[in-house]
Amino acid sequence: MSKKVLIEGPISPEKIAKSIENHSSKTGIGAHNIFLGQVRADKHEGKIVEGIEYSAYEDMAEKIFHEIRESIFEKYDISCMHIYHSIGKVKVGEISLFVFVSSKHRAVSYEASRDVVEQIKEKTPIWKKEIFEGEGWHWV
Amino acid sequence: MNTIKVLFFGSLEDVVGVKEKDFSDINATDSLFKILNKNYPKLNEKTFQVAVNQQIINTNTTLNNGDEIALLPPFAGG
Repeated sequence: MSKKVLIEGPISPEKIAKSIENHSSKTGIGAHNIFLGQVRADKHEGKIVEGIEYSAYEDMAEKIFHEIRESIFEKYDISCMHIYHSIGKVKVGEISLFVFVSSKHRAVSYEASRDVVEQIKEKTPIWKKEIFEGEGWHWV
Repeated sequence: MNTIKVLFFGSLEDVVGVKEKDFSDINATDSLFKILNKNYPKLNEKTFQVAVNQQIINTNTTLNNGDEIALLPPFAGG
């Protein structure tokens, strides 16, 4: 089994920078495609969202992430791929999803990245609870 | 005697009041849902998929000792 996708709390910009740096020795790569999901300050019935609390059926989610990964490698000619998704609390403006796809040429990196994100939205058992400023929350 | 574990995720946790609950002597998903719907009538109003041992099922499924059944509301990752 590959390393874990789900990590507690927000994904730091430093982690993203470090991931880019880690690829400098992989000189066959000519294109990186990075997708970042950021928590938005939505309004719901007049209340403003201050953060999201993510929860997951963790074992199943890791299994599905692994299957998504396998399917992407089978379908596209990519060099490597990393996915990180937050669980627990993430404040507005912070990053909760980091998808990093690398390939020799650019075209395939866009396609694969989009496919990964769509599959994550559709297939992984993850839920979010919007936490409002002041008090209250609501399941999305 | 067989014991199964039922997990309630997302908003379903609020409907049932707990994250998980054990049940005894239930041998299929249909009988489990008869009991759940009776004990928690609000479950009937909810949309969810069902997974048995992390596999999503679409028909009545036999349950064995130690099985883990999860009620999964619509996913909202990302």
